[in-house]
Amino acid sequence: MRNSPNRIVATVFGAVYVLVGLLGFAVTSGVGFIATEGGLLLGVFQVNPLHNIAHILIGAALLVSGLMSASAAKAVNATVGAVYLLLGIVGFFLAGTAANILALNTPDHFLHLASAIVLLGVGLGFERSSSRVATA
Amino acid sequence: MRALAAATRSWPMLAAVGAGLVLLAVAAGAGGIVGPVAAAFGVAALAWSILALRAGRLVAPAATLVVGSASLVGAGALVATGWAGRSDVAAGPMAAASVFLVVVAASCALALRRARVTTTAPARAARPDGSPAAGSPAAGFDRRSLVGLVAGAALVAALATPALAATPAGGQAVPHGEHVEQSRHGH
Repeated sequence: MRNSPNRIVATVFGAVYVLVGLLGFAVTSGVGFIATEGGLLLGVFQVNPLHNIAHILIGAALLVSGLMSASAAKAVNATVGAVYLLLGIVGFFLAGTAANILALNTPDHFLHLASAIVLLGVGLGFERSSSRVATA
Repeated sequence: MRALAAATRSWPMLAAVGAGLVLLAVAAGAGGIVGPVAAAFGVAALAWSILALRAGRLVAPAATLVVGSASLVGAGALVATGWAGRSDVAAGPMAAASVFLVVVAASCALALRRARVTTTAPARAARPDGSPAAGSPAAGFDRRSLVGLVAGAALVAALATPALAATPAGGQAVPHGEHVEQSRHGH
């Protein structure tokens, strides 16, 4: 685990995202499932129940892959990072339309963008020859 | 010095991600020929960052330097001629994209300079692409690279997020907590 940057990042980010998802429910009681008016997590990040579930699912995928193996962590890191970036890009072109799903505040965007870059960077840039990477 | 080099090795690739995102957001709201051109540069920046991250080195530094410099000159001309205003391109996002592009272009210039030094004094020089086995399992895991990656990602996000918010596309993205306010004002 300590010799694999992908496992470290997947485990740490996974644990944080699961925790953030669970804590989110503490501030979203009475908030509609896809309500655009959510609760403030840590006084900064705005979330609704759907947002919390997304955090838990993404966190669980990262956490499980991080605990499994370096190759699994690398694949999930790169995939989650790429999907985050892709959703961000698609979101720009959907802005102002009925399909706009960027109902997020600026701290959310900052956190998601930083997460995407770290996950994509570590997934693509580290342990490029996974067959030679220790999984223990 | 070596620690700093290890920590910042991935920063040109991360800067290219930031440039790509901001240019695509600019393209989404720009009118005329600026939109497709900015979109092409944005896609190129994102593609280059992915290729470079996968390769663990600056891919095609000479071509990247030329394209990066050309885009910087284009951005400057866009603002200087007043075409930016006519095409609904905000100066802030263009400035942020230019900062990212400067990082990429400067890194490529340094890599090319190192490559020239290598040909004249190979024993004293670093690898020509400026990436001494970063991320290579055979070289072991350099924790400074990971710390540098996280710090670089935070820096890119810190510059890109307000730049994205300042684009027309970012301005139309409705943040949580502002729907009631906006509907009251009839926006």
